[in-house]
Amino acid sequence: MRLTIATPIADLSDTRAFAVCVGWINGFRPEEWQGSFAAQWQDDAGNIYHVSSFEASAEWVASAAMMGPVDRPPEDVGTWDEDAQEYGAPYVVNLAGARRAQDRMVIWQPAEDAPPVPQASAGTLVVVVGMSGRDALEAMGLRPLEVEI
Amino acid sequence: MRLGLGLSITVRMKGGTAAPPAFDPASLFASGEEGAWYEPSPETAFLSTTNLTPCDVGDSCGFLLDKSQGAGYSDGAFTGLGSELVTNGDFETGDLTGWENSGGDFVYDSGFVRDTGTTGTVFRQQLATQAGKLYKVEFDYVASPSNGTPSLSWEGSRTFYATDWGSLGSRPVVYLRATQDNSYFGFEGRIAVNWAVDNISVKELPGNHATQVTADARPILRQTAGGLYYLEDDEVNDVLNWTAPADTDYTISYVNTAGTVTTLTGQSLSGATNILLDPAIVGYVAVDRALTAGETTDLESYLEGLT
Repeated sequence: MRLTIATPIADLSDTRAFAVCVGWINGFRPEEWQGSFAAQWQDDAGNIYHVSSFEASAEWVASAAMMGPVDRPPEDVGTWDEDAQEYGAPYVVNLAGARRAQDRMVIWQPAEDAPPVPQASAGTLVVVVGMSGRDALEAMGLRPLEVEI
Repeated sequence: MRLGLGLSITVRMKGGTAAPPAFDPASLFASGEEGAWYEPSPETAFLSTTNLTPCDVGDSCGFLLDKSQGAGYSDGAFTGLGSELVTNGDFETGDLTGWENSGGDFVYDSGFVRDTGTTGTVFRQQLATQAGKLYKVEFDYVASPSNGTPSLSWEGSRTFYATDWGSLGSRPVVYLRATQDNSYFGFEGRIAVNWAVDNISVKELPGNHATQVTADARPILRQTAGGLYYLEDDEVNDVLNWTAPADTDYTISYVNTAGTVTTLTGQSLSGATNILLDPAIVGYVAVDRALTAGETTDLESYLEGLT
């Protein structure tokens, strides 16, 4: 199913941590999500949001939204310490950041009695399920960032 | 992509019945011209550069094979690979000729190379790579480590660890992109000892393949009811780039699912160049030169004939 997500620019780092975490749990490599949410859209007030739209597996959605706070991926064993001969901090995933992003998620799904699509706003990670990417972002009150040529 | 001065655009709408295309776009590159030729399908679209599993319809695709330099995919393997770049990868010389072994950790052992030390030095050699090109790396996994996790060393960084090599006796394969000319390639063990490899090979997968590292920016392979494959651009954040050598006279021609062919001439390209010029792209050809009128007609007819 298609997910379209908008995150305020201030929350980009946490949102990427969340994407890396959930992606890694679902078989991706961290590098495949570290550059996610690169596109930028804006609201009528000119606030910038980083946005993403992609097809997510049912497993991706489940681990992102239906199974409680995300856990550190088992493969994120940290960094090898040659002196101590063991793995430990620093880790790849900023788990605290990932959980902050998860806490800010507001999910909208189409339904007969569904409320209006939540508007993108500070402190909120709006997730729209099912719509095309552009329709979802426009429903959130966003439009493509104007670029001067 | 940046549009250059002197740009012209022609758009050709599908109409009537097109004759079967006899023209081969590869002919446009016969004199060594740079460029790319893409036709997305399960034979040319793959999940990612590090997971070259063919895309099914509905998959997000992070690697699209460029057919302009003769590369292909058949029976689960890429075809049209370049020549061998590794010197003495099979150790037929009976020693480690061709390899740097500064720390002395690695020794020749009955036809293969074994890591016997823990100084952390790299067993490597410099290859005639070219920045931006993709290389198939493969080797026999002869003996596993008694401690630690060996890996490849590519351009000075560890990658493709033994945890991804499969079972002992397998022949691990990985595709790595060169970010510089004359890359150093080899193996690194650190604390890992007693592991061994043999028949080490590195060959170029020729062409300017289009890639997207970031998962949420990959286009999706779709198929029309009529069986036509295309890449769907979500028009939010999808980008699929090839690396264009800098020049100011590229010709780009592409076709969408409606059969509309668009040709852009006099294009200035440099570096990352997005092929998603249409939300439903079926074919894309870029050539680093002006085409003759006959070539343009042939190419446009060919692209139209795909739909």
